[in-house]
Amino acid sequence: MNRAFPQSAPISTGLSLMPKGDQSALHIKVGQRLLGKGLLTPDTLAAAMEEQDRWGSHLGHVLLGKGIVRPIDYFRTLADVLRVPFVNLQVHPADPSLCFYGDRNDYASVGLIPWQRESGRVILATTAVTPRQHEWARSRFGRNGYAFVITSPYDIFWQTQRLFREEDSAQALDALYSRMPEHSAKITMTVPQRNGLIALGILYLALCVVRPGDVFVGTMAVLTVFYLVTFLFKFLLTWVGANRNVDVQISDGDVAAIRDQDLPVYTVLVPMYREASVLPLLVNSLKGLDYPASKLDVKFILEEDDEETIAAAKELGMPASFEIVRVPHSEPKTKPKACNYALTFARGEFATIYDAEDMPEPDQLKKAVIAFRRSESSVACLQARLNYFNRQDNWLTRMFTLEYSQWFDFLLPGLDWLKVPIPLGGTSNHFRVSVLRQVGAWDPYNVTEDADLGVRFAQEGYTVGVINSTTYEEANGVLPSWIKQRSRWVKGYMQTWLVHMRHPYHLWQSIGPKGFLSFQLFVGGPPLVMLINPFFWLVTIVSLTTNWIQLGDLLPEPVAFIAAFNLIVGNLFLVYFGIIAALKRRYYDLVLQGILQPFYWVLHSVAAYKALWQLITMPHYWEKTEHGTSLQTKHALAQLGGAANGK
Amino acid sequence: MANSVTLPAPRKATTAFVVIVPALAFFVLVAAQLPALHHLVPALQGFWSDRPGEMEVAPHAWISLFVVAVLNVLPGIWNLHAALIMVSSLGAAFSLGLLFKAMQSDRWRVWEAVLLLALVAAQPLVIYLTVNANESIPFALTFGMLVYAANRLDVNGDVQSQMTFGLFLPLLALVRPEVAVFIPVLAFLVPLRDRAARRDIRAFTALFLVSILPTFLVLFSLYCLVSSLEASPLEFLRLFLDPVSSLASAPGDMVEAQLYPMLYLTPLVVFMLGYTLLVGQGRRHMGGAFVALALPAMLAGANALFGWGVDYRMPAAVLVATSAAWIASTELQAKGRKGAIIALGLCAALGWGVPLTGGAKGFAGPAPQHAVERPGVTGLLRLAPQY
Repeated sequence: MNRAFPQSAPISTGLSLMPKGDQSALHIKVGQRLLGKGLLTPDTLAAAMEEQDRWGSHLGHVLLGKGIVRPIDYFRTLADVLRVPFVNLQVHPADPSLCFYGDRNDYASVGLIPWQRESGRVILATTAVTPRQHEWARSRFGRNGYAFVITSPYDIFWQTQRLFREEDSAQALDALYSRMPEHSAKITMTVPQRNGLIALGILYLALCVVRPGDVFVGTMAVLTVFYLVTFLFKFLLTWVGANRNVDVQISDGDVAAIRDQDLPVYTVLVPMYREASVLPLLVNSLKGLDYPASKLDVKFILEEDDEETIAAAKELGMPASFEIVRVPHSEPKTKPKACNYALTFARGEFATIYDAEDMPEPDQLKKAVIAFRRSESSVACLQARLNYFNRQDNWLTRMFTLEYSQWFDFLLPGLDWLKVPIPLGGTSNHFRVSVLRQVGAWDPYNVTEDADLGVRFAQEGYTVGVINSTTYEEANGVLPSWIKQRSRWVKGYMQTWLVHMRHPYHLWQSIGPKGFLSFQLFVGGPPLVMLINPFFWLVTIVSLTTNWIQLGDLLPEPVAFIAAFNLIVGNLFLVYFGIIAALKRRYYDLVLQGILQPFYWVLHSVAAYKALWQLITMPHYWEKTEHGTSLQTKHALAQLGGAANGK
Repeated sequence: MANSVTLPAPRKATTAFVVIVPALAFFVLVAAQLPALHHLVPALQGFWSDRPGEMEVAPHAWISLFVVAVLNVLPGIWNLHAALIMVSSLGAAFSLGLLFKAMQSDRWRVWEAVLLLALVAAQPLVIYLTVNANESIPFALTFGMLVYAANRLDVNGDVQSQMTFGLFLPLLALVRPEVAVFIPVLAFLVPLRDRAARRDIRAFTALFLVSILPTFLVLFSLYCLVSSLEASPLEFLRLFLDPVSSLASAPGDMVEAQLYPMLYLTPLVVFMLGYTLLVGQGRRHMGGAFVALALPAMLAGANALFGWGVDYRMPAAVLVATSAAWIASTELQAKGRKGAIIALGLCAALGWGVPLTGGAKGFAGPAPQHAVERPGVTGLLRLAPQY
C-alpha cells in the first residue's frame, strides 16, 4: 500500500465553519448561557470579547484557548443553545462499523464523526451544525439519512485516534518508505552499496599487500586533501555566517506591526518520553509564547506506555489548545515516528517542533510567520537558532555552547547563504505543513531525521532559511549522556549520507554540484573526520615524541606540506573559529575556554566509534537524551513548584 | 536569508574584469615601454625609479619570498624578472579589480569607478613600484586591505568585520617583520570601537584577544612550517623585536626623503580630511580615515627612527593604497565621489608634472644613501631564494 500523509485542509474545531455573522451571534449566546450557569464571570466574558476582536478568533476559540472554560462545558452549552443532544464520545464511543479510514481526514477537517445508527439514520457527532456539515452528511447518507448530536473537538480527536490507531501508526512508520523507499533509512545499506563497499575493501587490502608504501602515501594524500578542503569550507562558512545580514532579519518593529487577527493556526509539536519532571517548565514556556492562544495547536506527543508523563500532563490542567497525542507502541520507538503520528492531527498552516526542555524566545512563532509570508513558496522550512541556557554548569556545557553557537550562528547561516542543503537542527524548525506532508515528513528510521529532512527538501526543490530567533535548550553536561546523544547524531549523519548516496548522480542532479560538494563536506565529512582523527593524532604524537616515524620522510611534497599545514594552521584556526563563535552571542567568558576545544574533539571521536558500532548492530536505536539535569532547570522547577504551592 | 527573503535584489554588478584586464595590459605595456620613456624624459627615471626592473626582497618578507620561491620551482620560467613583473602587474590589476567591486557595492557609477581607478593606476608611484616588481605591491596591498577592514568595522561592526580585521593583521608580519610592531597597536581598534567593550573590561579583553589571536596563530604556524623548528623560538621572536630595539643614527635625512613623494599626494589628504571632518556621512568612516592617514605616517616615522631600510617611496605608496581603499569602501555622496576623482587627478598631474618641469632638482637618488642594514638573522627560512 502506498501510504502518504493526508493533504487536507487544516483540521478545524468546526466553530470556524459557520458564516461569520451567525457564528458571532451563536457564540455570544453560548457565552451568555455560560455566564448564567456561573461558568464565566462578566469580567472574563468582557475580556474574552475584546480578545476575540483583537485575535480575529471566535469567542469559543478564545475561551477554550485560554483555558477559561472546559471544552465539555462549552460544547454542552452549545448543544443547549442549538437544542441538539450532547454526547461524550469517551463515555459513549462511536460505532466502528460506521467509520472509515478513507474518511478520516474529513472527520478532522469537517469536525464530525459517524456515531450511531438509530431508526435507519446515521447519527453524526459534530462540533457545529452548519451548511458544511449538512453537505458532507447528505453526500454520504442522503437527505434524510442522518441527524446530528453535538460533541467536543477533543472527543472527535480522541475517537479518531482510537479508531484508526493501527492505520495511523503504520502510516507514521511507512509513509516515506512506501512513497520513496530510496530515501528511507529503513535499510541502512542497499545491496549495491554493501557489495560495492566489500569490493572496495578487498581491493584496498589487496593493494596494501602488494604495494603497501604507495597505498599509505595515496591514502594519506587523499585524506590530507580532504582535510584541507573541509577546513577551507568551514572557514568560508564561518566567515560568511559572521555577516550580520546573512539570515532573515525580522525586527521587533516587524513583530509589533503584525496583527494578531492575520495570524494563522500554528501547530507546536512536542515529542517527549519519560520527561514528566520538566513538563511544568515546558508548559510555562509555551504559555509564554507571544501568539494568540486561540490559534495555538500544541500537541504533546507521548508514548502510550509513558504513563508517568501522561499523568503529569493531565495534572497540569492545560487549556484546550494543548492536546495529548498518545503514540501507539511500535518499533523503532523514535522521535520522528512520534512526530509523524502527531502530524496527522496537526491543524496549523505552519508547524514547529520543540523539545521538552526548550525555551523559545516568545516572539519566535510570529517571526516565523512573517518570514514565511515574505518568502517564496519554495521555502519549506525556517530554522531558528539554538543555544544553551546552562553554559556555566561545567566544562562540557561550555564547550557544547561554543559548538552550538558556531553551528547555528555561523555554519547554518553560511550554508543558507551558499544556497545549499541545510541539515536541520533537532528542534525549532518551522515548517509549512502542506510541504512537510507532501515530502513524506520525517524518516522514522533515521536518528537524525531533521538533518535528513533538510537534504530531502533540497532534493525536492524546496529551500530552508534561518531566522534570527533563538530557542534556549539545556546543554548536556553529563559525560555518558553526552556520548549517547552525540553518538546518535553521528550515527544519524552516517545514515543520512548512506541514504542519499545510494544514487550519487541523482543527488548531484537534484541539488547541483555546489550542494553535492557541501553535502559531502557537511554531512559525510564530520563522521569521517571524527573517525580518522585519532589515527592522525597518534601518528603525530609518535612522530613528535619518538624516532619511529618521521612524517617528512614518509610523505612526499606537497602532501607533507599540506599535512603540516592542516595539522598546524588548520587546527589552530578551527580553534579560532570556535572562539569567534562566542563573540556573536557576547559570551565573553567563553573566549579563553575556546582554546580547550581539541580535548572536546577527542570526545567526538569516542562518540563516533560508538556511532559506527551502533550503525552496524542497531541502526535504528534511539539513544535517549536525559533532560532536566542542569542546575538552572532544577532551580526553575523548584521556583515553579514554589509558586504553585503559594497559590 | 539568502534564499528568498527581505532585501531587494541587488543591482546587477558589472564584472571586475572591465578593470582588471585593461589594468594588466596597461602595466605590462608600461613596463615594456618604460626604458623608451626614460630615454625621452630622463628626469622621470631619476625622480621615481632609481633601479627599474631590479628585484629586491628583504630577508624575511615572507609573502614576496613565497612568490619568488613558487616562481622558481615553476617549470618554464626562463626569465624571473619578467615573471615577477607579470606577477606584480597581476597583483596591482587584481587589487584595482577588488576596489572596483567594493565601489560597486558602495553604489559608485561604473564610469566614476573606472575613472577613479584609472587615476589610481596613473599615479607615478603606482606605476613605478609595480613595474619595479619588488616587495612594494604586497606591502601596499596589505596596508590597503587593513584600511578596507577598518572601514567595514566602522560601518558594520559585526563579527565578520571584527574577524576580517583580525585575519588581515598578520599580513603585516608576513609582508615584513619590521612592520609587525603595528599589529598590537591596530588590534586595539577592534575593542575600542565596540561600545560594550569600552564599558566592560571582559568584553574589551575578549575582543582584543580575538583580533590579535590570528597573528599569534599565523606566526606560530610560520615558525613551525617555515623554520621547520631549526631556530629557537627566541631567535624567531627577535625577527620582530630587533627592528624596534635600536634607533637609527640619522633619521632626519630619511624623514625628508620619505616626505618628498608624499607631498604630491597632498590633494588626496586634504580631500579625505575635509570629507571626514566636514561631511556627516564622512564622520561614520572616521576610524577608517584615521587608519588610512596614520598608517603611512607611522611607517614613515618608524622607518626613519629605527632605520628599517624600507624603500623611501613606500610610505607614499602606502598612502595611495590606504586612501584608495578608504575611498572605495566609503559610501561617498555624489560630491564626494567627484572630489575624490579631482583629488586623484591633481595628484597624478603633480606627480608627473613636477619632475618634467624640473621642480625636484637635486632630489633624485636618495635611496642608496639610506640602504640601511637589515637585521642579521639568517638561515631561518627554507623558502628564502638563493640569489
